[in-house]
This record gives sequence, C-alpha cells and structure tokens, in this order.
Amino acid sequence: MTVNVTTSKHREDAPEGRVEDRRLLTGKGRFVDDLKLEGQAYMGLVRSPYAHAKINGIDFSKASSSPDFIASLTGEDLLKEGVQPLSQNPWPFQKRAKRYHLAVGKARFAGEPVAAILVKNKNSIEDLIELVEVDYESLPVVTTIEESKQGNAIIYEEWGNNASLTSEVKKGDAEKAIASAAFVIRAKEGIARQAAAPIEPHAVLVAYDGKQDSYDVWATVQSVHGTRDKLASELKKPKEKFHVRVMDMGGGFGSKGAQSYPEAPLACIFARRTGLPVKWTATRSEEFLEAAAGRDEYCDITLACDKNGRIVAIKASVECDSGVTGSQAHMPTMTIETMSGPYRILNQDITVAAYVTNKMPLGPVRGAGGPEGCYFIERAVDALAKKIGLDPIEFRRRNVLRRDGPGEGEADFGLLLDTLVKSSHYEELSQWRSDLYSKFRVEGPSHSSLIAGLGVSLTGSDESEDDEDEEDWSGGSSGAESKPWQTGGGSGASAGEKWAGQPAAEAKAPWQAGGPEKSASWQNSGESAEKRTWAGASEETLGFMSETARVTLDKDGSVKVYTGSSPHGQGEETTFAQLASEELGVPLGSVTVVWGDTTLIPKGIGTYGSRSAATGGSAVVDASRKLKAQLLARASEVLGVEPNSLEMGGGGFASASRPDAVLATLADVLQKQRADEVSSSSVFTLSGLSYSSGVHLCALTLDVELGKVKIVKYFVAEDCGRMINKTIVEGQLHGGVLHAVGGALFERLAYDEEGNLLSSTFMDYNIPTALDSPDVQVFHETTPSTVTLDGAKGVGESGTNGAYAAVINALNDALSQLGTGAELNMVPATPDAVFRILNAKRVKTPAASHLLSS
Amino acid sequence: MQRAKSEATKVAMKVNGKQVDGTVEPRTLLVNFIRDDLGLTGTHVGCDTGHCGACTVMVDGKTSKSCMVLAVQAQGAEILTVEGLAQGDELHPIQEAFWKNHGLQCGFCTPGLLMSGLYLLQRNPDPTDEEIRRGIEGNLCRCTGYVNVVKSVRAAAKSMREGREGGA
Repeated sequence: MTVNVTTSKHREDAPEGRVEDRRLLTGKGRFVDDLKLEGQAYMGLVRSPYAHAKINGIDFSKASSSPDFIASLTGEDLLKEGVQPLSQNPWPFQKRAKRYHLAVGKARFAGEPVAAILVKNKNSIEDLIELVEVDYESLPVVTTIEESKQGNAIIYEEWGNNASLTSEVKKGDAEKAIASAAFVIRAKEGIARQAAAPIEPHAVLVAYDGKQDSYDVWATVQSVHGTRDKLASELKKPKEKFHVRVMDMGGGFGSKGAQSYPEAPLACIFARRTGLPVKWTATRSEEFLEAAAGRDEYCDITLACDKNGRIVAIKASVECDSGVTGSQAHMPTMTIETMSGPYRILNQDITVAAYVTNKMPLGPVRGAGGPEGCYFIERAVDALAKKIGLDPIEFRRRNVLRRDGPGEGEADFGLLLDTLVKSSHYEELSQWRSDLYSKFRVEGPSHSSLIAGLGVSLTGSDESEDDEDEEDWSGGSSGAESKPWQTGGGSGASAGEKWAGQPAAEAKAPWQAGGPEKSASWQNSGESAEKRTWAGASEETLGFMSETARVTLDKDGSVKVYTGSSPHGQGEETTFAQLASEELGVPLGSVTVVWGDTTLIPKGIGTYGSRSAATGGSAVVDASRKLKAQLLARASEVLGVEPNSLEMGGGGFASASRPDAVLATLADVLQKQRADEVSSSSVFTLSGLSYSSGVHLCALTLDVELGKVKIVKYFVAEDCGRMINKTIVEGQLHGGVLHAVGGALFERLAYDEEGNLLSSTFMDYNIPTALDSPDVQVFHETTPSTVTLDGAKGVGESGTNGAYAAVINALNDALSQLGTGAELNMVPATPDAVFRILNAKRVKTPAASHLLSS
Repeated sequence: MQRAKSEATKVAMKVNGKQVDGTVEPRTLLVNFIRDDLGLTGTHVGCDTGHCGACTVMVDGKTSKSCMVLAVQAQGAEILTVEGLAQGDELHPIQEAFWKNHGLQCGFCTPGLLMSGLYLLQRNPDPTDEEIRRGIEGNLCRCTGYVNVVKSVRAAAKSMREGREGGA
C-alpha cells in the first residue's frame, strides 16, 4: 500500500456536487411526512375562527359518532393530565404568560388550536374537524399596536396591560449630539408581518412504547435536542423517554427552530392513550395560521451627522406587534442591538417596546430582528446622505473603518465597498440610471414609463470596539490625514461633490480643508462589542455559543462525524465531511456525517442563527484534532516513537522527517491496539460571535405608470471568513437575498380588523417566483474569523439582513428622481403601495389619473 | 355537515413504466395515491392548493400538479415521477445538472422543479434564461433564490442537446 503522508494539511478541492444531493434528486429523501408506521392514525386540530373568544364548551358528540373517530383532547384534558404550558425560552426582557397546547378558557388568536382529534383515515381529518362543535363567545379584539396600547382588550388578564417587552441600548448623549449636529434626518419606517414559509409544512410522527413508557418522535425541527427537552418538561417525563429524530427537512428559516408548538406533545398524548402511532402534517393554511411569523416592527428614527459627514448620533424608538406570547422573543431586542450596524456611533438612544395582539406569536424568521435593524439604519443613512448631498457609497465610506492590508477577524467594509463598486461596474450602472431617466423625461411616462434606482446597504456590525489599538485601523501612518473617513477616494465615490444644503462658504468638503474635527472617543469607546450585543444574555444564549461533535474512525478506515447541528439545506453533510477529511487527512468519500438523532447524539444545539459552519464546524474541527492527537499517541505506542516525531495523513503514519515512507496505516494501528473504533468528542464554545459582513447593491427599474418594481441586477460583496465550500456559501447568499427581496416587495401576512388572517395560501401570500428573482452575483473577501476553529463566519442570514434595505433604498433612489418628495418606507413595497405613494405625491401619469378617478 | 361516504373505487395506471392499481376513495388526490398507496414519496406536498409545484409530476407527458388531480382522473394515464428519471444508478441529465450546479438545497421542491425543467427542455431544447424562468415559474423554492436552478436547467439543456447530437 502506498500512502503519502504529507506534512501539510490534506486539502481536497470542494466536491463538485454535494454529498446529500443524490438521494434528494432521485426521490429518496427522507422527510417526516414520507414516513409511515403500521396502523398510524391522523391527528387533526380544531382551530378558533375568532381572534379572541371565550370557550364555553366543546361538543364531540357528532364527530365521535363517525366510524373514523378515535379520540379527542381539549385544553381542560391537558390540565387534568398535568401538562405544563408551552415552554418559553428564557429571555430576560419579556413578560411571561401561560399558553397551553390547546386553548384553556379562551382563544387568543384566529387559528389557535382549541381541540384535537385523532382519526383513522387521512381523508376524513377535515370532515371530522368540521363536526366538532365549539361554543364561542367572542371578545373585543386587539389587532394593532395602537389598539394594544389603548387596552380595549387585555389579552393576558394577569398582566393588567398588553405591553410585553422593553429594552434599550444607550451610549453617550444622543439628545445633545442631535441638537448640535450639522445635519439631522428623521424617518418613520416599518416592515410588515411576514412568514418564514419553508416549502415543507410542519409534520410530526410519534410512536409510543408502552413497555418502556417511551416515545419515538420524528419531527420537522431545526433542533432535535431542543424539542426533546421541551417534550420532557411539558409532559413532565425524563428526557431519556423521548427519542427525537429528524432526517431530511424541507427548509426551516427559523420557523422550525427552538419554537414551542403544540403538535408534538399532543401527538405524544394521543399515542400513549391509544397505543397507535400518530401522524400530523400541517396544511399550508395551518402553516400560515400557526407557524411563527417574523418582522412586524416599526421604527421612528433620527440620525445625525457632523459637517464632515460623520454620523454622530442615533435616536430610535422601535415598536413591535408581537402577537400572543411566543416561546422566543429575542427578535426586537436583536433589532436594537444590531441597529448601529458597522458604524461606530458614539451617541445612541435606541429603545424597543413590544405589545401583544390577537395574532399568532412572532418568532425568529431568517435574520430574527437583524433585517429590521439593518433596514431601519440603512434607510436612514441613505436619507442623511441625500440631505448632505453625498453619494450614498461615499457617505458610508466615511463612516466605516478601513483596515490596513490583510488581517483577520472583522471584515474591512472599505475594502468590501471597493470590491462592490469595481465588480458591479457601478459607474456603468449609474450611467444606465441616468440614461433611463433622460428617456423618461424626454419621451414622457406614457411612452417610457421606466425609471431606475440604485440602492446600497451594509450588513454586519462594528465589532472592533474593544480593539484599543488605533494603528490597526488608521492606515498605519500618523496624523489626521490618514483617518479612514478622510481618504474619500475609490471608484464610484463622488469626492468633491458639493454639499447640498450648506451655505456657499462651507461648500468645500471638510476633508479637503484639512481634516475632520477630532473625535477623541472614536478609538476609545470603552464598552466591548460582546457586552453591548449580549447584555443580559441568558443560559440559552450561552447554549447558542456552543455545539457538539464526535468523530469516530473505524478500523476499515471510514470516518463518522456526529454533529449536534441539524442541516436542512445548508449542506453540512458536505462541509463537515470536508472539515474532518482535511483535519484527519482521509479521503472525503470515507467520511459520513450523522445528525438529528437524540440517541446517537445525546447533546446538541441545532441549526439556526447562522451558527452551523461557525459553531458546529468548530466542534467538528476540535473533535477531529483530538482524534488525530489520540491516533498519533496510539501510533507512537505501536511504533515505539515519540508522537511529535510522527505525521498522520493519507490513511497512515510516517516519520515527520520522511513523510513519504509510511510506517503504519491507520488500520495497522487500530488492529495492533485491538480497537474496532476510536473516537473523540467536543463540546465547543465560541469565545465570541462570528458573523459574516456584506455590502449589497440593488439595481432596479420602477414602472411609474404601474408601480411595478423589477430588480435588474443584484450584487453582494461578502466577507464570511474562510469559505469551506464556496458554492454552498453563494447558495446561502442567493437564497438569503431572495427571502428579503420577497419581504421587501411582496410578502405581507394581512389581517382584517377582526384579526382574521387574509393571506393564508400561496395565492395571497406571495413568495417570489423565478420570474421575480434577480440573478444575484456574489463577490468575496475572506478575512478568517479569529473565534472559530475553521475560520468561517456565519453566513446563512447575511443575505436576508442586507437585502431589505438595498431594495428599498434603490426604490427610493428611483422615486427621488421624480422630485416630488415621494418616499416609501413601509415594507412591503407592493405595486399597490408604490402606486399610491406615486399618486399621493401627484406624479401625473395617464394610468394613475384614470384609475384614481374611477 | 357530514359528506356522504363514497364507495371505494378501483384505479389503474402506469407509473414510471410499471402498471399499478389500487382501491381508493374517489376523493383521493393523485399525489396521495402516489405517496401513500404506491410509496413513491419523492413527490411532495407543499401547499395543497396548486401554487407551490412541489407535487409536479408528468401525466401523459405533460406536467401536472398532482395535488390538483384526483387519482381517479388519472385512470389509464402514464405517470412519470422523480423516481422514474434515473436509469438504474445513472442519473438523468437534468438530475446530473442540478447536482453539479448546486441547483438544490433542502431538496423538498426539487422533484417538482426537475419535472418542470424537463418539460420545458422537451419543448424548448435551447431556452434563454428568461424562458427558463418562465418555465419554472410554477415551482416555488425558498432556498436557492432560483439562481442555481436556472443555471442547472441551462446546463441540462446543453448536455441533453449534446447527448442527442452524440446519437445517444
């Protein structure tokens, strides 16, 4: 056997196709609803048609006369069983409330489950649901933040009002800085309630073992461990009684994350009571009615800069319509904690207040508060740039830090902006924008109704605040001239542009006149990034920073990677195999990744919050390195040499001085040690957060006649650290961007004044189709993370975080050319909303005057 | 109001080249017959209202959203599902193209997209990107942003054209 043990790391090129794809492409994927157990029964949920109603009684007599009927459950039955309320994750800012799997006493949102039935025949589920008679007494309904504040109805009587959460970020003196600032803008912005909408609906299958009093649970969840722990606490049984599994899963986007949903515990109760396997699969409408939604945040923001174009203060008040209390409530807090983005703003006064309403609970949806924060600040940054007459890219350049040469850790936003401007051919796009507008002006809207807009946004945070060394950032040379905001240059930047709105005497840009005002605290703001972002972090948050892995080597040379992560599209079967292959020097094809099973992997956290490549990947690297050390120690015993004189790779061991002469294979060593398998494990905790940073550019056209927006080009310059697999990274960004494009232009969970959901199918809730979607182009900088072992930074949500702002900034850039003051700040910017904004500002178009007069 | 219990009905059709039959309630959807009775679970249900396209199969050579068709309506039809695309271990060129171009992430919508992509290429062997986007408009995907789906269909078109020219 010839094995070359090289001293450098074994690196195979990323495979051309993913490991997981073959079964998914041939119809052999294993999704929960694909499973069938002998004699399985089907669970159906009776849902409240009222958003707020007292439940006076539930009558199953008609339903139970059907031969298909097996059993029923109500909220009262759950109380008798001693079932605990749906778990709420500890989040120090949120008030707590008891909400049961089936409504007890009253229903608090339209679609809330009030009873459950078990039936024999899948086709009969909905027939029998219809036969359950519930005596409701409707109550006054709270459907908006205003109504919730007024308290025309109190959703949780024990609270006395409807306020559920407050939090704040304060720094410096925002009030004072705004009062003395050269330029100030104020805007009201908002993002409507939107759905995660994975294409696979939620599903669960439970089998009960009466002898062991244990449950086999297959569920569509992003964390089998979180689901197991919640089942154990809600049903008051030891964790070991629940074997929770997930195999393939059709997307999650947060809605299958650490939520507490009623279905799995209800199915467990039915399975125990009847001895039958119990299956439940949501219809799409149930998915819209109940799966946690996101956004629904509104912001009143004031942003101020000095005469040099340096942002000096932000004051913002965010309000969130949270629906009824959910199990996760960190999203509005995330919004305010991420709102300052990559900008170092010395004076901040940002508050958030959430209010409960008679709607389904909010939960994390791709970005989980991040897209909102980014949208709020990036809209305001554009407005401020416009006010002082600076190109939006140039204005941003002056407010981000610039690194001198290659580095590690944080991204260099100056470099990302350069990359974006160059790679997107920004100047040509600007020319295209001007040309379209000229055509529109010359030919008139009835002949040429399209105008164009360009929009930029930055996503990521300034995590350098604990970096005391100013030299790292100041370009290396001394003196004020080298400060990053002074350089101004770069292609596409409009250095020397005049300062609109300034008296003529001050029209000369300050950086030309000899440098900005000294801002002593720029380098010295004392608070660390970690403290700022995770103030009040709970144990749950600490769990979020950790992940588990176990790596085993079999005597046949095959490697298994067990991970607490839970891939459902992110491609970890490929990327984690790459990491183990690289660390252990074994062929990629010999590595199998195992996940989603609480018996095989007793501890784990899961896949959400852009954490898998960063945190899960680090655990895989850590476990692999430990395994390698163990194997070297074993080999040294077998060979009678010092471990550090050996190298391992290519399936064998060699002397470090002669890597081409193999002394023993892995199999030799295992055989001599009489080991069938050796393994090492890791519970790895990151010392800090590690997220990707990005700079987005959206180019779109607006049909002034119809209000229709079409995204023509979309570019992202991204720094996600080391890319384990470039193709997968780009796929994450493509999908992340489109999620937010849908959110920016189409998606709204609409309710009527009675709290009925009006958009409960894909007909009414429009997620983008291939025709609505831009060809997203991604460019990379790869500054390795200093806190992850694989150098990767979390990228799953980055695209979504940045794209709302880029799209709406581009739309407003288009609108601004009309000179009417028309501005759109409430998302989604549906054609209807754009049309109304256009015409509210009296853009006279033939179609508009016709339509509005009729 | 309880619906009248209807009599079970016999259905027979050809699925992936194999003659199959079964006894179903008349209201049984084709997709449920395929998934539950035949055990071909590669065809997925994403919305039950005909919007998402995850359940797309070929019925007599044309794409059809199988959650919008009753099993009894497919009596005597020839059905092609995702399980019928590969020849043994050899992937169909469109499967191969999705694999090589990262045209899927979670894989749930993929079987439907393969069918719509294939149907497009059977009618238009050399589509533009715009035509590809139009061809797969009825299939929703939440993961890929469609970028690599379009690339995959484009690559499949090329390899299928070359396969044909090569006399395959």
